[in-house]
Amino acid sequence: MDRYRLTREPFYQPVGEECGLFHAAYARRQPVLLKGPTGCGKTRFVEAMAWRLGLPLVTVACHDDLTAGDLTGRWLLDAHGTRWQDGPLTIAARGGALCYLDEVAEARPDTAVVIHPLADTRRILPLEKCGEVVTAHPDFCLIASYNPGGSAKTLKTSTRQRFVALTFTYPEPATEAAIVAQESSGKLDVAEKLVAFAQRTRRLARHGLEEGASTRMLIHAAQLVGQGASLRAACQMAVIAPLSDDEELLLALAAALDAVA
Amino acid sequence: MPSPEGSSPGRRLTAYLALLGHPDLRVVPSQSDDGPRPVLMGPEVRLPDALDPELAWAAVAHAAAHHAHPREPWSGDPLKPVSRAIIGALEDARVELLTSARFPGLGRRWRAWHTATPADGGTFEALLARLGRALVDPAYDDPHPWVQKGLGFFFADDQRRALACPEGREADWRRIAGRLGHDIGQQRLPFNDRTFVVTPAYRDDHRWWWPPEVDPQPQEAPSPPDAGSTEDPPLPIAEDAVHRYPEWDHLISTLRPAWCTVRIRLAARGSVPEPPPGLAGRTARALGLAGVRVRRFRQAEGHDLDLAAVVDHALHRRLGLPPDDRVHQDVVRRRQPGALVLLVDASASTMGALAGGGTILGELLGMARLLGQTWQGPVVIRGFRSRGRHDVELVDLDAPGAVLDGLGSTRLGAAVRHATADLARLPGPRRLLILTDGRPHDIDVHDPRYLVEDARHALATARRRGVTAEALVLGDQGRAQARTLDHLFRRGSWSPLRRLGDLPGALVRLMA
Repeated sequence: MDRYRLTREPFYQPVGEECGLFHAAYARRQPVLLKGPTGCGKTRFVEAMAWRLGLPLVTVACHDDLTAGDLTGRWLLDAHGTRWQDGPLTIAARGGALCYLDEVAEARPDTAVVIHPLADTRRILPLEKCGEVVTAHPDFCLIASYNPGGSAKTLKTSTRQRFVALTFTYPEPATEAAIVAQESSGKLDVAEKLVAFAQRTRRLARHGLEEGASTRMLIHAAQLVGQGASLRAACQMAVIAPLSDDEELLLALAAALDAVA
Repeated sequence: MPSPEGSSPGRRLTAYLALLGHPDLRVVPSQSDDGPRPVLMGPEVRLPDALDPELAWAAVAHAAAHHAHPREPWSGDPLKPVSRAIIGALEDARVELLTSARFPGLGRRWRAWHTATPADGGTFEALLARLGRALVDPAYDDPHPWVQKGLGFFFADDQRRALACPEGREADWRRIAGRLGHDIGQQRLPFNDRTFVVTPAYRDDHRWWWPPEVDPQPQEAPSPPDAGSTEDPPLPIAEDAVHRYPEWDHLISTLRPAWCTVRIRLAARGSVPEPPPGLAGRTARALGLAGVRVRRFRQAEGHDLDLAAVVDHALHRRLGLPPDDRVHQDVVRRRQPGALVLLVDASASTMGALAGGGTILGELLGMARLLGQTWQGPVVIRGFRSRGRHDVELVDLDAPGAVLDGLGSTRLGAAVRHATADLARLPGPRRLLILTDGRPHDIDVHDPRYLVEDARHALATARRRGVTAEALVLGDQGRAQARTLDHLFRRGSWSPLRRLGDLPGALVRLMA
């Protein structure tokens, strides 16, 4: 299990009551759903919680080709015959880890159903193919994240209602600037300028931009500034260019950057 | 710069306004009486087609500056033309300087267009342009006493940093303009109000400040006028019956929020002719083709190997278990009827007669009836017609014997948005089928592309939400018409037909 343990404490800046609420949910082993836009700190929050609880963390990036076997495990052939290989969900359930299903809505609804027996009071994982029923370790807990705005896909009601949910959003400007400065080891005034620009981009939802600049993007930009790039070039490379492929929006974003710089 | 049809510059500039903090403003093309200047009117920034792109950015930013630093309305007391021109320059400089403090890049952008110098001479227009430049460009020094006097009134300090009148109060502007105007009069400098043009060219013509002598703003129609016959009494309104939906304006690429009012009404009762015998069976068979493609794994036969099954096959042999020979995969169309919403076009044009007798609407209603009877899943049938954006009617045709007359126009986008919302409440695969005789139009819209683009947008949104959106179009489809319908409904998502009897064939073309 040790290879799933974090080796150093991740930086996480609480923005509200989320840490206390997570601990309360974990105390009762309630599965937790984290909702929020991309790059606002959901994954980092999970890492911080795993560190504070002293638990290993097994992360699965969900996608629409993910099968139930990819989560639970499968038989493999090797030189000596056949061998059962646990999937990440089974590893976490046996070993008492936090299992983090990143972007769980991307998984096909029928795949997501395999977590159901683990996510309610049964806390078991039936492995149909090898005829075993795994009872979850007492420390095991399930966490899932999803981005309601970034994808057309949603969760099945039966999956959704097994979770308690924490809603994440971008932090207040001062907090976000402090996070950007800390994460990039950069200057606070640079971070403040980046955050002010990001907030402008977050107003473009009605104009064809699905989501504005994320905190993660701002950290990338601040890191580029730390490497000697100008603020404008860093913003162009780390924020504007990755944000959209729409030529008109790119021109508007570049002009707005000109206005504030 | 923003071209009336494509208008991607309009979209770019509208997004720029949102980024500068003005999501409610939008850039639209100039109207015929605007002339070659930018015009501000309410939430619109109207720009001429041929405006230089760089000038357009500056003009839009200038409009944002006016909106960011609004001032109280003018009292309407008389003002001399010279004073008006001076006040215009003072007010422009005020909003630009206040805005530049937050957006230093905008100050640079604007200053690039200020090119007046003492070499331009001493006419009133030249002096005003020189004063305008000195007000916004601290690096520009103009020795003319009148310009210096203006700077002295405008700024509270010699360094030209603090504004003497940051709020731009009318009394202050009148006082300063009165004294500067008096000097112009003393020097006998002529001024022609009719030929005067505000400089630089990115600045608007200021028409929105001054109380108009005659109200130039077009009044919105106070009540929706009737498009069809007036003797039809309005149908009774169903409960929970008024909904508002946005509408897509393709010129500015923006959804106008809560733009259309949709009212749900109950249908009148009447008789609907029975469909020809045998048609129901053929329709049901055609509908059998409707379904979703499903990949089936572990099949005895198929066009591809199922690799997981092949591995399992080898595993079982090694484990000494009997192997499963079903190692193929295939794709089939699985019948999953799901929910269906039928939207029946009931605009005035559907009252037109068909060659073989009967009306288009009668035929459309017959189709809806037939589809409603043969569809296996839940069905909702609605007639739609409109009298402008304030009165889009959706008539509930679910009850047996429900009929309606064709009147008004075809505001398809609003109807599609309501149907999409209806479908969202229903489980399983969702399908929207529009029965119509052609393209959308309405009495309050003159741009023939506007409602087509709005309907396209509504259909695209429906598809993004997992709705299969298709149309059956009754009538003669010439090549030009077919191109429009390809654009509107998407190629392959609509099917033409001439009579009710063609329904099974049209469904096969659509769903196969």
